[in-house]
Amino acid sequence: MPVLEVENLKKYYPVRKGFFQKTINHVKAVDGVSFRLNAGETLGLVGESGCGKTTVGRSILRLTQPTGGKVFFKGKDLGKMDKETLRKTRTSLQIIFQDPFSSLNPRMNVGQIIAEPIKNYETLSRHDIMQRVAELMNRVGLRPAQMGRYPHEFSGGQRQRIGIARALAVKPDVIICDEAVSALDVSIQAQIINLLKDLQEEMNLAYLFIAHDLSVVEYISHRVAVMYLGRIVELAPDRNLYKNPLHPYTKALLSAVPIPDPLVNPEQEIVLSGDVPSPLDPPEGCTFHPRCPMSMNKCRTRPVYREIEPDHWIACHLYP
Amino acid sequence: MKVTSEPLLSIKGLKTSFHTHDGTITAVDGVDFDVFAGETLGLVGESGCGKSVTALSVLRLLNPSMTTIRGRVDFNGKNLLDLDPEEMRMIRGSTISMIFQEPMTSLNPILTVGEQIAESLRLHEKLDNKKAWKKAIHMLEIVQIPSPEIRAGQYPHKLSGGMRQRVMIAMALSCNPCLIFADEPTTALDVTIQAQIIRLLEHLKKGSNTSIVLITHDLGVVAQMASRVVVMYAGRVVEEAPVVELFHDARHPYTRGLLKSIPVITQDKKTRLNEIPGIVPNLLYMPKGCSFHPRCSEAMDICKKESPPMIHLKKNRRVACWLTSDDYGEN
Repeated sequence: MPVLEVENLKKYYPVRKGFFQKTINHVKAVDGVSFRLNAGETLGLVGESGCGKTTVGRSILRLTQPTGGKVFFKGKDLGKMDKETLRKTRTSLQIIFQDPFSSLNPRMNVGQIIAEPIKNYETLSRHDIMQRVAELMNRVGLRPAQMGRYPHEFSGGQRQRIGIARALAVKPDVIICDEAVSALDVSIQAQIINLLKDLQEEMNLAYLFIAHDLSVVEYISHRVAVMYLGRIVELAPDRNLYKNPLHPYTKALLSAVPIPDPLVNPEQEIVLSGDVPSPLDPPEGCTFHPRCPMSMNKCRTRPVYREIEPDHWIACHLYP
Repeated sequence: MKVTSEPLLSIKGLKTSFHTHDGTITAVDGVDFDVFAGETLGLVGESGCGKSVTALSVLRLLNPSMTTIRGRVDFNGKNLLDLDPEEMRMIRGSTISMIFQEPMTSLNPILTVGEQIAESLRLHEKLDNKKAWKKAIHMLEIVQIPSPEIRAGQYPHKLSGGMRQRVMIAMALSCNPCLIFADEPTTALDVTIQAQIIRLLEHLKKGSNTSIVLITHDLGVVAQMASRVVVMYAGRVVEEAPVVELFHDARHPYTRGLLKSIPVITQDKKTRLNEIPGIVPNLLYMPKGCSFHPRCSEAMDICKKESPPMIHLKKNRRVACWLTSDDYGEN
């Protein structure tokens, strides 16, 4: 059974105008997203800015109230839980944020930051808490002696380690990594990616790995979902997706990644023209059709998101 | 691409220090490199290695009351560091220009984009208002902005990130510079937009003899665009090589470590990423000897005591590492 199941998740933000703040339109940040996440698995969620990938993560955790759709954690509907049950379930669902500079409270020292979730959910003695914090710090590669220091005394990579320790403190099953390595330099990024992989193996964690860097996502994920304007356009096991992408957007996205080898010629690079359309006024039907090199008349109707081969999901009219 | 033997720009012993409350920080510590006409030179390194400060020092865009710049920057037979501010102002934006990373913050929000391009044309090319505006529209057309007449009259907030970056490029190109410093020109952009901008820069370069110094941390972008690469670490040049040699025969352990730490899509097997342990040293407390030795897996005794000499292996190929020094004896 999947540990996390997302069904037709929607998040619309109202656009208000005028004296009475009348809702005149909606930004469909997430418009019907469905996927499953298995225990011990990493699902990558990629897409360009504004495609709604971060909103998916936040809606799952109910950090923002979704407009529609269901999220099941181990078969239980998060939307139907009462406050107390939801609060307790939150220990199993944790998040690591992109910006290690703004997601740690600058007035708390590292020990307090990591101890806070433990204090919230468990009744442990001071001594036990401190011991647990020390263990966690050791595990993520920080020295427990630095417990009394404040976030500003740490480098970006170390701060991200603090964020990871905080997420691990309540022994979660699922961690949503929202651009967790994007702000880091490559040498540090490699350290954090390796750490996340080790932790996954040890604790059988499931990651929803949200990022815009395709090479990083490919490296860390078992399956990858590609989002465009609030919808998943393709979802497949990573090798499959990268070797045999089917959706024209996935193809364009992959071909646009510069390969760090001057001898490799980018084979038939597909350069998309234009920008991503505004989600305020998305194109009719398939939202990608105005930029799509393969677009047809049919594309003015919304394609159904379906499984065209085992574990390969796609929303495109090219594949009947 | 024709590369003449005489460099267009020659940086020698550039040393830039900032005076801070905690002491003097030397962000660029004895950097030399040449830029030849018509080439794209990649300047790579991680945050804080001094690559941007190098460009800002050459263009003299740093506050003189808080910085000390030493060394020489020879351009057209003049040392740029000796020019008075007015002379420098006439070079900046006309013969040497710069593209900044953040098109959101480096465009003036209260001027239309057309006006911002026209401004430098009136100053440097001495065009009148009408002609400058016309040329501004033409520049927007060159950088492939759709309906340039309308866009020229709009303010930066109306434009998307990719379009703003195109405007920055149009500004940089407007006075036909012979050298452009492009500081992370695609870092803030999405991959599909990044691909558009890279193609655009390549396309524009083909039609002119302009040199580009491409400052970036993205090795993928460097591999695609540069012909020669200078790698910096903690304020110093650690390696220089033609692009193919750098990616296939890197000599410095830092360069090699960097190349192995990036995940590559084309890799068939997922091997564990190589980590460079530790972090970049604090410029206030630089380690003795080679500044990379605390993180280097191949560090020897001498690396901890003395900083390595720059070893010139051949033309455009040099490395600052004791390991190479042993291999090549007296070189």
